Amino acid sequence: MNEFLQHSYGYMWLILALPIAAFGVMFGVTYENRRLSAWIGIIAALVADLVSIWVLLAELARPQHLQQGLGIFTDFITFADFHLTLGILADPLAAMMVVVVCSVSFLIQLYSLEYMRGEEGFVRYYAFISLFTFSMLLLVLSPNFFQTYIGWELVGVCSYLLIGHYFKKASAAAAAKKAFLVTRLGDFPFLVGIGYIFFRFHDLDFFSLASHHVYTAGLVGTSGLFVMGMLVFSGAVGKSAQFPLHVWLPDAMEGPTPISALIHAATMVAAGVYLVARAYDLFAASPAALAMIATIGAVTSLMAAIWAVGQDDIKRIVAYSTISHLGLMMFGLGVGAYSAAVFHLFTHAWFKALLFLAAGSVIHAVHTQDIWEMGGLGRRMRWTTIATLVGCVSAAGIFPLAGFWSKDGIMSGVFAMNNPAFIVVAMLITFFSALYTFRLFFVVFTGETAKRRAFDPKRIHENGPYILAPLAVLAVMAAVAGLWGSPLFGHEGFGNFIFYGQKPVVEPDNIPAIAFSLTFALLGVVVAALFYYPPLKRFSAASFNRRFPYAYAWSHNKGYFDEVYRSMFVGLALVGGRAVEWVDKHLVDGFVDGLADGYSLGARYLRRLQTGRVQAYAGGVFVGVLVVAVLAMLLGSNGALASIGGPR
Amino acid sequence: MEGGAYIGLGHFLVVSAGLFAIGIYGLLAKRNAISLLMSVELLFNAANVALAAFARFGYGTVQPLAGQAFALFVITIAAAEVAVAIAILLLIYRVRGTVWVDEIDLMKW
Amino acid sequence: MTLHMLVTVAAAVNNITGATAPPATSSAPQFLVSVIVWFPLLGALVVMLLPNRGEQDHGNIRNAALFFTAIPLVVAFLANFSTWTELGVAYSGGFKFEENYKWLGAFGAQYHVGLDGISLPLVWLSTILFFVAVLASMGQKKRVKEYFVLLLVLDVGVTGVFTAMDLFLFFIFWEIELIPMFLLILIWGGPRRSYAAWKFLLFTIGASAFLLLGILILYFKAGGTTFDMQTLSQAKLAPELAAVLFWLFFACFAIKLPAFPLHTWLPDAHVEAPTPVSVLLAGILLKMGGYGIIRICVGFFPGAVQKYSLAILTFAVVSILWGSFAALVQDDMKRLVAYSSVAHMGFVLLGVAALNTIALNGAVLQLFAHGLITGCLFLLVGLIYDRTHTRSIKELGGLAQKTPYLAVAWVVAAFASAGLPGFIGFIAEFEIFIGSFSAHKVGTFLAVFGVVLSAGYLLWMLERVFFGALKEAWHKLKDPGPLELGYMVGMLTLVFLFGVAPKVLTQLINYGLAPLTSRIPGGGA
Repeated sequence: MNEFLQHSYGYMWLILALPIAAFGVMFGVTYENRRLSAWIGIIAALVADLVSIWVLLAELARPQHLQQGLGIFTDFITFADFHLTLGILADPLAAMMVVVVCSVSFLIQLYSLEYMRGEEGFVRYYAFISLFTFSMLLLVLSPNFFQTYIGWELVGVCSYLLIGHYFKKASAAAAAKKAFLVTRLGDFPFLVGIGYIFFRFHDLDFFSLASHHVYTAGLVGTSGLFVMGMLVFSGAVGKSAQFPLHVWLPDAMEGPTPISALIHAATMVAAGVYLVARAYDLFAASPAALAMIATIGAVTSLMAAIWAVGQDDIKRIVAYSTISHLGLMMFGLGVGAYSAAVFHLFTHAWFKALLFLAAGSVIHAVHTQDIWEMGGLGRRMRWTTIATLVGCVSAAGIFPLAGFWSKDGIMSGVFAMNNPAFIVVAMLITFFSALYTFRLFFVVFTGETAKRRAFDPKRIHENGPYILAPLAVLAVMAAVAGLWGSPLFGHEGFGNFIFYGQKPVVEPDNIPAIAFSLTFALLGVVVAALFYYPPLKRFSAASFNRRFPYAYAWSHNKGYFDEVYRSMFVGLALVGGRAVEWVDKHLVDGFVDGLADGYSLGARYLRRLQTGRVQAYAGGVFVGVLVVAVLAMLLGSNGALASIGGPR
Repeated sequence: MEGGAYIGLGHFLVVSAGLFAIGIYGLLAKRNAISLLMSVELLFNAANVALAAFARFGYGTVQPLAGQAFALFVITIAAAEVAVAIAILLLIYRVRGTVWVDEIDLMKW
Repeated sequence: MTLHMLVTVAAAVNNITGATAPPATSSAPQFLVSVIVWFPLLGALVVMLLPNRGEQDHGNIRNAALFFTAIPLVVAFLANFSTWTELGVAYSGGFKFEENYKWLGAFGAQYHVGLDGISLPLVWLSTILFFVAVLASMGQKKRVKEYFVLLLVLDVGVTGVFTAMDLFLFFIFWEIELIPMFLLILIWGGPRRSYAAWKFLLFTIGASAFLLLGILILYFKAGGTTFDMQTLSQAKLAPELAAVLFWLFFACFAIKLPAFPLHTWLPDAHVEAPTPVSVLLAGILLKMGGYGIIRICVGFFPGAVQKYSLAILTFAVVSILWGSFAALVQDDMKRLVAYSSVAHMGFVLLGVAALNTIALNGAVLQLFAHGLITGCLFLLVGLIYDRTHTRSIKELGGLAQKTPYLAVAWVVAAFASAGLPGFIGFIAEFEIFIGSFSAHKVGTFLAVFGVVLSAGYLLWMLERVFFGALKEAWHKLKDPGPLELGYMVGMLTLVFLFGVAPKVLTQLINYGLAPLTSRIPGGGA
């Protein structure tokens, strides 16, 4: 291995140290200085990014026989026979993800210089981004379930803090809470799952668990492995907004748009997919678990894609698109297309961050999020339009942009399963993805400017360099990142990388799968054009909605999940709480108070004996003594009262 | 024992019991606090008679002299008790103008 | 393992012969524990003698109280340092800083105190919290002298309980704590203080009855010669007798903890008690229950604990869910935090029910963690109440706009309480879950659900109190002053520091627990 690249591992701690140091400095020292604080965050992310690219290059040059993560480890808690360790792990998967996190974090912060200019809580915003970056990296670089869980919770909190950035807005505060609670609903089985793994294997380290083949050693039965897998997967379901815990992500759009791009598109929500990929040996040991993952992924992906078509808020469309793509990754992992799914994680980060930032650019210019109040922006915001187009083509999975190369692998994997239902669902996902993506593009950027908007369309202008530069970088990545998985980098270039140089199973490219998926994607674009692109417009969405009101309502209202959940879980929790409260007040306290009341009631009558008449007392004493004396005589010296007196 | 009237333990105890009964009657039935005090004296003396009798005639293995000692002790106590009680009674009389115990029931519930 | 066995045996021999054994560590200060325990009593005497007329005198009284709680704090951390060095070299369980004197020789009670890995964290906790409680009482205007005297006497009681190594002494300290707490609630409490104080007294007196009965039975059945806890813990008892004794002690400690269904005194006492007293009540007094369960129930009757672990588990799970659900619907912030205490103390029981090294370690750590974190929460409720004169969540709203520092402190404390990594509470709960899962699967699963609920009620409260639109009534609200912010930052820093470096505590607790776990049937691995 190249000497220079080898050195990179020694500096990996910087990747973690810089963002957290930036967070500390911003809150502790430079809180009053907005510009300086922002640049501290940006530089920290940039340096961390450079180090991570260095590490990635080292990983690329890693010799094949080293099938282990490298890293630094430290004991966190020690028991006689067991250590909880923290560490920094370097392996291909982590190295890839770290580059994504650091790069997007850097670009987002640059972008925010302009986007968030003059906002209240500017430094707080930057500080939390740095904290988030640290937490996410802690998760990504984690060598074991314990540290993963720590990072897992920390990114959740950062997400909470950043979604609630505009905390004066009640809806933002509610969305922040909802995001944290819904993900925590997934986290608690995850925690139990960690307990289960520890109980069975007495180990939480990813690599020693995998390398000793503990999952397949028969220590746990089939059903046990399935349960274990599902418990861990629950965490991923929550974090990656999979059905049925997907409801928090669209609401999370209450946060500033760059946050949506960073946390709710590129990095944190991908953590669930990352976890499944990281602990893949566990899932691979249980076919039932894999099937479950595939099913949940497919269902999520399809539903989210359909819901995205019915949304009017530009950020919500992209948010459902994110859910759909995350579902697709899970689908891919479930059908065994491991490297393709991980690769999609990689490409998705770029094009989805791009789409969000482009949406942010639009929002920054027109100050609305309703796509029907936009329209015709193509002429006024040329660069943003081009960037969005790149993002849309990539997201729709159209040759030759990034999304295509990762999606084709997943599609090949789905076709290889020979399950007709999966294939149909996959095609529908492809179709709807293209449909909603290009619906967004056509409605926002083509045609006439909408009349509803209150202010003059002429005042709309392109944003400044701090917004456009990140867009440009991301657009380039969204266009070319897929080439890593293309034949240009050799057969299975990315797959070989992820598997330490030698992918165990070589999957031949499934030409029908790719052809089908490309066809359906193009079909989706065509349908979108027929509905929404003015020069080609043949159908009216309004009349379609009139004809199929229930379909539209179901899509527009996201399947009514929010309503059902609100009444079910929130209602149940409150009813439970009140029931408990009632029992406490009336039964438990009723018993205790009743005891006290009974006591005082008895005393109220018994105290009448206290007449205050000295002769009554004397009489009482006399009678008492008499009774004792008589008893003593009756029972005699052998009786129980013998001990009072008398001869022996 | 043989022939003639012999005064034994039983006689003393009868006297003692009689004194005790009178005392109890006085204690429970009289209303005047002074009478009560006198009744208490009777009770004491009933006990004293019994103690002295037991000391004289013996009872089991009990040390004979203990009875007399106790009787003397009781007499002392009784004297002290009367002194204190009379003082209290005088005060009560001054404050409340009565020594009839059924009218003195401040200590009721 | 053998080493601390030897230490235990040696200590037991010393006790039987009645020798005033010198502490095992010759370098350690001789009267360290006694200073921690009795110094506040000296303080109480001094405060009693101070003049009490004007504001000037009140200031002197406060400062005196501060001084007499600060010294034990410093001394307790001295114990820390001398224990540190031993940690690295030879400390492997057993008691340190022992003081053993003949006291009531007629029936074998001794003045025997000491510190081990279980009690030291709790002594740290109580010295910290008493110091902070006095700091938080600086604004106390009503009957200042009596207030601080009672606070200082209370201090004696609780530190005594944590350090006593003689069951008779333990009981006396246990009772010493009762009356000051009762009076503190009764005199300085809120509108329903009388009800709350009597309820507290009734419950805890009832608890004491079980305790006394248990102690006496144990004393006589074990030969009636000594109250020494280490000797008694080794007593050979019939399993049936051990079971009866276990339930007697458990009943007492479960009331104090408190566990469902004996918990209802807690919300009332908390709501009525003044802020610093709430802090002490939740921060330390509940810990006496947890400490008792671990020290006596687990330490003396591990077999019975194992036999009835399912029952303990039931109490634990019901307490956790019960407290969490009840906390969800509370409108009074103090009541909410009080119910959350019920839930968090349920985790201690969960750890005890699991009866293995990791879970017990987590249980002790949870005592420490909950003491600090809930102390913070009560202080924060107090800071809001001082400013708004209400604790009703409904009436508050949008406070973060006017009191940013308070809001930050609240968010940090709430997340710490919800078991966020980076704070000490997480480590404790993680250990308990990991350990508990090997013993009880379904129970653990249900208990872990409490974590979701705890995030639920805390975040929902934060949302309604601090976020959203600012209500009209609070436009003139101000952030707390430097003193309040000072002790809040101090407490939260501790919560954080122990959270990122828990090894300090877990190691200590591990050594402290070793003699206990070695006696658990089946090894307790």
